[in-house]
Amino acid sequence: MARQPEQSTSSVRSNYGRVIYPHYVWVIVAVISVMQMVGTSIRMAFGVFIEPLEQTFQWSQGSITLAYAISSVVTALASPFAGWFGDRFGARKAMTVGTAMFLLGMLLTGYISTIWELYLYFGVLLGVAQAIFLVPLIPSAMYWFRRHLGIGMGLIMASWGLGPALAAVVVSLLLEGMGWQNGFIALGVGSAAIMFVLIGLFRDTPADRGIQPYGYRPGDVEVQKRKSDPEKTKVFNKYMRKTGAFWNMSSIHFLGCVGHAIILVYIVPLAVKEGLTLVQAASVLTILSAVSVITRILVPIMCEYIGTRTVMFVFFAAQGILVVMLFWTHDLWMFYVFAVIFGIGYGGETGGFPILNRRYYGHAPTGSPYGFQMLGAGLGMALGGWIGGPIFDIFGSYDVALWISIATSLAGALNILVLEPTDKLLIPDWEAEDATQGAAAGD
Amino acid sequence: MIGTDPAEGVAVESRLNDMRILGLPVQFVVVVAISLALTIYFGAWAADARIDARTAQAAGQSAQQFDFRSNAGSPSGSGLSGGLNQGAAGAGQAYGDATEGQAWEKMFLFACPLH
Repeated sequence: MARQPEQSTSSVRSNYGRVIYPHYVWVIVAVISVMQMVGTSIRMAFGVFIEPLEQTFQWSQGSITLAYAISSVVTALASPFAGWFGDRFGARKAMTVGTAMFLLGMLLTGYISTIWELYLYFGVLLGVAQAIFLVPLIPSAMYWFRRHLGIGMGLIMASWGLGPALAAVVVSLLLEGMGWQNGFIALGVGSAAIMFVLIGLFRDTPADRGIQPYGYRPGDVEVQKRKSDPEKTKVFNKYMRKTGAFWNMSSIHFLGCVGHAIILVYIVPLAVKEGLTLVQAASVLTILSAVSVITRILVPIMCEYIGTRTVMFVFFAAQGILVVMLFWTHDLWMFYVFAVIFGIGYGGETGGFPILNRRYYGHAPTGSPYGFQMLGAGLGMALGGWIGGPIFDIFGSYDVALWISIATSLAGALNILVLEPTDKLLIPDWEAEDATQGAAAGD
Repeated sequence: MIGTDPAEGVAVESRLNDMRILGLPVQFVVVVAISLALTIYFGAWAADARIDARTAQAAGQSAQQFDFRSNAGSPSGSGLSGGLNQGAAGAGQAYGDATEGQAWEKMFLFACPLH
């Protein structure tokens, strides 16, 4: 049962007008950031497991990486369900269920002996687990911000960029020390232990801690009380599915993710083909990821202050146009220049979506729309990561894949232009409309 | 339009957002349809290319086997026929692999009307 907000009016007033001030929300932001990094580490570092699995079981690389593809697609398909689960039962319960599934999946993967077990435990079980404990986190974070959501989202999005950079190092050290089987088990137990501690610190809403959301001002509606009402969530979802933005945000996220997945997956083989060593090519990817952290932090803040669609349009367009550079990039320094400027566009692609959700749907339960957007993003990452392979088989070069990357990012930018304006809520009176309909029906 | 509000831009957005196909926004349907079509087309093209490459490789191998056997010769005269038989068997096996293909190749070729 949620406690009622007890934060004193004087304390709320003393923070009036301040953008940064002490609040439990920063614990929530830290918890979500670390959860995202720990929870996705195993997938981010999957490449480290390929060779040990190949050596132990004599499986082909294609068969092993299929597990990664299955896991990505399963996470994408489970995302709308995960969003609904978070809205229905709260993010904290979703995280607990997801973490238990994660632990089970990791332990079972440590004992596999056939390729089908790898697909089932790593692909399906861990795929669903990741969706359940990751998707509800962002909508839940939104309940904690009455204002300045962009700052919180920026910090959380930064963890998406830091995660891949740290995961490969940590996981490879673990594997080197204890072998892949014990590595899986140790990583599963260690990650789950960290996640259970974080769940202990997490609260679904500020009301659960008896405080007001960040940026609350006297006179604001206490919206956090609405959250855990399943009937209202159901009603809201009904209205939300009728809005164009619900569908279009998912397809825009899909297009953006196809655009950068092609680059993220194929920049290394492309650079190697141009004569760079594997280490040099990998350093291009590292620089790209590192630079993206900066725009991941800045973009949600810019969206709040400049305008969400404007900022998203610029970064989508940048992500697309800058890929043209790769057609005449041959030397190491040119790849580094590309990594820096593409990293800026790529980092800014994602950060606007939570802000758009807030602009369109206000403080309503947004787990389902966010889950549906993650479905689009996940399928986009899977398609972008895959399509370069067949295209290389056909043409013997990545040029057509690069053109697809450019076209999808620019198509996403165009779609952003025709999204609904963000200056008013799309379904402002959904609760009132429901009440009216209920009254008319004699409820 | 981007930014706050040019009235004309808002009208364009409204018109586009009001256009529906099977109850879904037209932009969404277009993105899904084009993505599916391109995925199937490129997937089938790649499958076709891989099968052709395997077939050509198999044909090359069988020709090599044939040349090797026939050049090696045999006093009994069985070398040529043996070479032919083994070459044909090798090619048959390889063509068999080529035509069987992998599950994903079959799936794309089945789905694509242009391949």
